[in-house]
Amino acid sequence: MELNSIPDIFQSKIRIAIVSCLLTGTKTFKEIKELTGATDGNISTHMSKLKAASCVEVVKDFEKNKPRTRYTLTEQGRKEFEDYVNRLEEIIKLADQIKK
Amino acid sequence: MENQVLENAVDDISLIKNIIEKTRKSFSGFSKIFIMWGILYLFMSALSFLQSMNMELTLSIYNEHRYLNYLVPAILFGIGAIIYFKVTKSQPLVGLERHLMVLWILVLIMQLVRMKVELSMDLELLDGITSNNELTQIVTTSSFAYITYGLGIASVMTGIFTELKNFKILGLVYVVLALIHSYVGPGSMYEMLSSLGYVILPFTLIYTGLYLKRHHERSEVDGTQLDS
Repeated sequence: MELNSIPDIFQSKIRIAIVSCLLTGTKTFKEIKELTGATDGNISTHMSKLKAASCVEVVKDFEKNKPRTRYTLTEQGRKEFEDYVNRLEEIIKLADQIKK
Repeated sequence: MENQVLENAVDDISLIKNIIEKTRKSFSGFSKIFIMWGILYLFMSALSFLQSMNMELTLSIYNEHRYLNYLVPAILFGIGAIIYFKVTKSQPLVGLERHLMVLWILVLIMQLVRMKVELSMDLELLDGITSNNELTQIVTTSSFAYITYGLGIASVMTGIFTELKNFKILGLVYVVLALIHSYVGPGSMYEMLSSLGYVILPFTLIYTGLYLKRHHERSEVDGTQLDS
């Protein structure tokens, strides 16, 4: 398996971390920040790329008159991520077989 | 296969596992609910304490307005439910915090379980042995032991699942207190333990909520930071 077979969208650690934390459900910006430990700027930049790739949906609403942004993983994003994780597992299995 | 590809694959899998594990062990919604429930119970405990200080007045009010026996727990339950649904709407419970919440709710429902005391006397048998006045008895019941035992189980289980020693120790202390209260006779020890009943529930809820919140914040600070 070649490195270039991995989709561009998952060639960043932050994007992988963001998608991983959205696997368990919708999260606010603050929750994503807490879980990934990334800076606001980094999250915003990578979130834009995930939105552009239709991997993440954004819901903007108000909570106690304060604007709140929540992020959800789309079906397409979930499927692409599952495919990507399967590829990673194949790489590791293949490496184990070569070692043996 | 290039070593670099394998290293990247292992790193990525490890990162994904780490984030999912952190999400699973996040207690932000859980701790918020517990702190708010603890404050709610604190008010209720203060009310119960005031009632016990003015027993005659309380009994006369409750005898006159029997619906208060059901209204007060219903209001408490209602406010608790509103807090739960409001918090979980904005911060859905996931993973471990969801399972622990089920356990704690079941234990808290024990609060609503009332102890039934049935007195039956064979008056013919007692006739001639005792006068009617001597038959007048005041029966006082205490739910301290079983409530404390329930809190003990929930604390120990929380300690096992979160791997936090404090909760295991707290739970074991509660189990011992419940057993002592069950077997000790009337006296200063019994009175002291019974008076703990006013604070044990709010204390446990607030302590659990605050400890999990602070533990989560500390682990976030110590955790890996992503820069790229």
